Amino acid sequence: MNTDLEMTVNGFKTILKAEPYENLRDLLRKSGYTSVKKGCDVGGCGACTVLANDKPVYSCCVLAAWADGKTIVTLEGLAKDGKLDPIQRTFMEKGAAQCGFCTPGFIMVSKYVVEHKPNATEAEVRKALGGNLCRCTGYVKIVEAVMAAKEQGLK
Amino acid sequence: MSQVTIEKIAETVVGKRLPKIDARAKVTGEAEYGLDIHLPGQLVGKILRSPFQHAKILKVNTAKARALPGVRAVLTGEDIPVRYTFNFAEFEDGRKVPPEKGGESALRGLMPPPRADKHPLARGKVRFVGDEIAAVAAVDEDTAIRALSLIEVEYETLPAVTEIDEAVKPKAPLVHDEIEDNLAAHLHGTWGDFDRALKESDHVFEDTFSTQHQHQACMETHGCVCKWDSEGNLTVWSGVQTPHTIRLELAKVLDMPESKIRLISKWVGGAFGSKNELEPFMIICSQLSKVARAPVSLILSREEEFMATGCRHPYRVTIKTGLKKSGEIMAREVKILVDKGAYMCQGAAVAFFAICYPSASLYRPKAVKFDAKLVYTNKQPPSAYRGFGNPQASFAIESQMDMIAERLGLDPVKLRLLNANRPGDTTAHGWRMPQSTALTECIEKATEAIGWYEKKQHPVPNRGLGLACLIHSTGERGAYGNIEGSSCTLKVNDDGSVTIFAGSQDLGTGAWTILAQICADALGAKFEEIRVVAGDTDLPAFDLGAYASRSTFTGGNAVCIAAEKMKEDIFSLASELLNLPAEDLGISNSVVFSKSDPDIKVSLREVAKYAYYGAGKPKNLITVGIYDTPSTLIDTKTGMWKEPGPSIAYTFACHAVEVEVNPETGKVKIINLVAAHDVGRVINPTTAEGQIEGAALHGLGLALWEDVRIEKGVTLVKDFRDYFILRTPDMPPVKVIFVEKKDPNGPFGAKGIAEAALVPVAPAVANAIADAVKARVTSLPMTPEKVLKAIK
Amino acid sequence: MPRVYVKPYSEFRPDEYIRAKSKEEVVSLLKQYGEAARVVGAGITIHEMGVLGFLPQVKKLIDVRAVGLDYVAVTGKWIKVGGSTTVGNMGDHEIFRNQPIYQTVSEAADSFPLQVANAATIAGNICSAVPIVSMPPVLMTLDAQVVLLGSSGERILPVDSLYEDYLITKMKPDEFLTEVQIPLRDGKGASVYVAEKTVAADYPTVSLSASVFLDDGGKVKDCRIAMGSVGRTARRLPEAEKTLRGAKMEAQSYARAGEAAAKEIDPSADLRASHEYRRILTRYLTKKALGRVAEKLGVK
Ligand code: FES
Ligand code: FES
Repeated sequence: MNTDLEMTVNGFKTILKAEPYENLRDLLRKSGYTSVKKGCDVGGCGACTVLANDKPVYSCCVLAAWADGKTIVTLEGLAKDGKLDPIQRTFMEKGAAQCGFCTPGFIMVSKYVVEHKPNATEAEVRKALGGNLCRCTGYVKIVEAVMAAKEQGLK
Repeated sequence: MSQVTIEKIAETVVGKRLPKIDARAKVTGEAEYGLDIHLPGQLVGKILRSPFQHAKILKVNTAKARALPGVRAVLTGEDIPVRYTFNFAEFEDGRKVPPEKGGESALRGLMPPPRADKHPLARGKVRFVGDEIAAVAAVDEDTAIRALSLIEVEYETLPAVTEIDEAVKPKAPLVHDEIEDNLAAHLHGTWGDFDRALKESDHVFEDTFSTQHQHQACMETHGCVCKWDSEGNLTVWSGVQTPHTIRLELAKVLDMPESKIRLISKWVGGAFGSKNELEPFMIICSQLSKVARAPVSLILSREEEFMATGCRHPYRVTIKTGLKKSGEIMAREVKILVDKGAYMCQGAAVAFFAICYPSASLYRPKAVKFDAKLVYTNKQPPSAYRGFGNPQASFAIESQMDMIAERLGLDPVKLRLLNANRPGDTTAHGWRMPQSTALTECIEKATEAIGWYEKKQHPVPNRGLGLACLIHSTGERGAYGNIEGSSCTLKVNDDGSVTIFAGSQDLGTGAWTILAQICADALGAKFEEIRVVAGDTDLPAFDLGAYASRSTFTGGNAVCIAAEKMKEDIFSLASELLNLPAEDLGISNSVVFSKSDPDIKVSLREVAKYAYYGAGKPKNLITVGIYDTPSTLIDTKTGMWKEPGPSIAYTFACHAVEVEVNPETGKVKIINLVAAHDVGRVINPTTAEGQIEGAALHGLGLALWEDVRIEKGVTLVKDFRDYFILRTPDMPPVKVIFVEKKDPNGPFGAKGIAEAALVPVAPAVANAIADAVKARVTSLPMTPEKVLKAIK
Repeated sequence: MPRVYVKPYSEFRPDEYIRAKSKEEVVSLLKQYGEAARVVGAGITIHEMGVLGFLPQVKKLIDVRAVGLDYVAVTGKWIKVGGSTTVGNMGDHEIFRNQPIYQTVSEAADSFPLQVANAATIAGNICSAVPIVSMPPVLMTLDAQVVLLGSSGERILPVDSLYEDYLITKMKPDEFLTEVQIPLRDGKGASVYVAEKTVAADYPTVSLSASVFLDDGGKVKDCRIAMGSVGRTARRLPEAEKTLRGAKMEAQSYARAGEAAAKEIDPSADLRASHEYRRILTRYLTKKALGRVAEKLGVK
């Protein structure tokens, strides 16, 4: 039986219908938020990371219904009026996206880190990104991008 | 084949750290991968897989599945009566569609001709847990999965062989009934006078090493969307490395003209070798779509990815090396036993590469003897993975180098320097090392950067240093036909901007950005005004695909050729506009100017407007660049190459690592990794570094943790939580050093880089562990348990 | 021998997601639906087990978010943590972050991937009864107890006697976990959490939590050691604790405790490690944990 879920997605109040067993990732993807990637079956790769009430979660690991009443942000919601978020810019500039498949998930965690842990050291940033897999970059340029965005934010 | 002179061209964007041209789409989530494609009426395809290692299929009953509402197509092996293998297909009615002329030429003479051993959907037998049995297309995923559960398969289980040692025994069960001894292929031979070289050696050492199933584990699993039109044209959307050759293979298997298939491959979520051959899912999906008369999306789950897509072949490698007292390498013999799993895929080519590259070409053995046996087992079939046999063989060779150094009391750095390949060398099998060869410099730079000699003087307990070297290809003639080429079409649009229609493929490496950078300087156009349209077999361009680190070199040269022609056209039009002789004209930053008076100029935009609308006769600014490297095929009579061999610009590297081993747990921490590479001219340092940094992750994974554990033929790894890929906190700092020695044949002097950098990592780590705790681990991965055992 | 094989298709297809408004409603729903009902927080465990095919019988999911169980309160003799509190929020609470006696909680919470800590609830972590998760051993070392509410009222169970077997707790079908209670203690004490992992963000290969109180003479007055991933359930290590009581915090005591620990566990083998290696890690982690506790306690 479908349940109506009311949430704010990328700034818009939305009602989405989900089956009780459906996970949030699949619901978001089928609702057109395809930046939310599917990288694994039972969780751990981080490709599906979204912000729920400002905090990163694996959207594949939570039931869609869990998001009822929450504010969700996906990668589609970061750029404002065609202007990229600073973290998107540094990901571009530093070459942090190779194949790009992990990029949405990494950017969402990074966005949280930049905003909520502006003084994090590189080691702390690395730890915060530990829940995301990237098979292309060896993480080097991703970490550089986060550090750069943090510095810009602190200025 | 045409050579481009590049010295005269000024570099303005070549060598710059420019963001990739497709970066914006990736950081905004606009990039549309296979699983993001949703066409009207699209169905979901699913594959039923064998639960048994080895079994006869007695009956497949699909009636219940067909009756389920929402099911639109059900297929079994009976519906696809064809067998195939890499680039070769055979129909049940006896027709054979062989490789194109010269297709397997690089291998001919060394091993038997290709034999089709795989049905897209099993017929008669299943041979591994995960073998495709049947498939369905339904309105949604739920219905498709339910339909699979309604397919009844009656099996008669057969004795299975899941280990190579059992499989080679006489009377072992046969994986393929017609293949005796389960010997899938046997490659053997010698180059040079091996017996003499061995006789002239003062020392001979023999050691054995083994490697594991490592998985590419691309973040995007394999999959595709297929759609037919009413004229029988098939469109396939799938992120792959080699659109043209996969289309070629698909055309063979579907018995239809290549041109009726369009393969669109714009976004690829990682590949690493795993997406460069035709796999069953694509054939199955195309047929589901045909039967259902609707678009079908078939995306593998992570579990399917681990159990049924080709990972790295596990090798058991025995290396025998003969050396002079001085340490000079005289002879090398390599014996390889390959766990081939149930089907051949690219197994033979991979073994061939392992033999030809590190075994025959790393350092300067005067003679080489080789013997590789590929053994069928009832396990998932490995195939191509970044490095293509090189990591396995190099692990053995470079581990043994350190073991030899220790036995002879030599310094491992000096031993390598003594034997390092030099520019102009010819190998025992006839390959010529390019003028850009810089292995010596790489060794020097890597050891210096890691602080080799200082640290050796002040050893810290449980810390150790290790190094290892690499030879790899830039492109590889003989993978398909007798070409090693690429082409593109260049168009200056009527607004003066430039579009490159490229055959080259970009897997996220930045290859398309590199083409744009090369084009900008080769043509004198603004980088920002260059677009690359690629990843589509319907474009006016051709390429063998992205593998063997070939895109920058071959694709880049093709762009240079097209740009040269384009300049001629531009200058001839501009000379009409400016009333100046064409020889007096130059172009830079999309402005054509007079060399004698730079104030006289006209913009490329104006030239383009004139060309398309004003010249009185239409004069379109469209040129084509076609390039083929001056590389050579094997001479099937002698089994040797004419110089320079299959690649025109072999690349070298040396990696040095520092590790710390916990003596109580055996856990290895990587403190530092230095990677020095001779890459020729670096076109874009950011993307070039990215390749090496990313390779470090695969290399360290191979060294320490990654292992698709298979027990009695059952794949135990189902998801990322069972497959241990290093995470951000686990990765050491990676220092990349470019030894930039321009290659005379490369575009702007560039060579290839992408594939190879993972190769030296595992042996360097093994050597560092040995240095740290005086314990040698000879099998990968070097898990804490294994290291601890070696210590004790 | 012909065999018919049909791919198992276990359906995790609950048909209703019910948002309970009060604890009483939760209990009555549980009573009504029995085995067919499951309480969910974020649904992490439920969803995973569903995907893996463990829960074909579950038809009703009961959301308890609106019943007011999201809190950490320090009251009288207890630290009380509502069942819906996320692991992340729990770990971030200043009493766990800053007070050495309870610090094992924050240290364990920090070992979760961020994306899990932000959604996983403490109740889910406890009730899943998966031996590889980190919170149950941590709570055991703090003598924590859980409050279970069911149709016959509330009852209290210590965490270290909650588990029956792999994936099985002593909870009745109509019970749910409302609160975790950790006794406040004073004295010279400290706790730590340590784990050996394959790669960061993996589940621990072996995890260990220890809490130690010293007497005035600097000897161990009281201690708790508990581990995850060394058997079918998370568990205390009474033998190891015994060797430590009355001992000095010094290398020999740690080694003795490590030996005892390695002996009393019954680890299994999996992709991360063999059972023998888990014993080695147990010795190692016991020593490491006790060393770190000693550091926190300022023992030289
Ligand atoms: S898709 Fe959610 S963690 Fe992998
Ligand atoms: S960029 Fe390809 S997985 Fe991260």
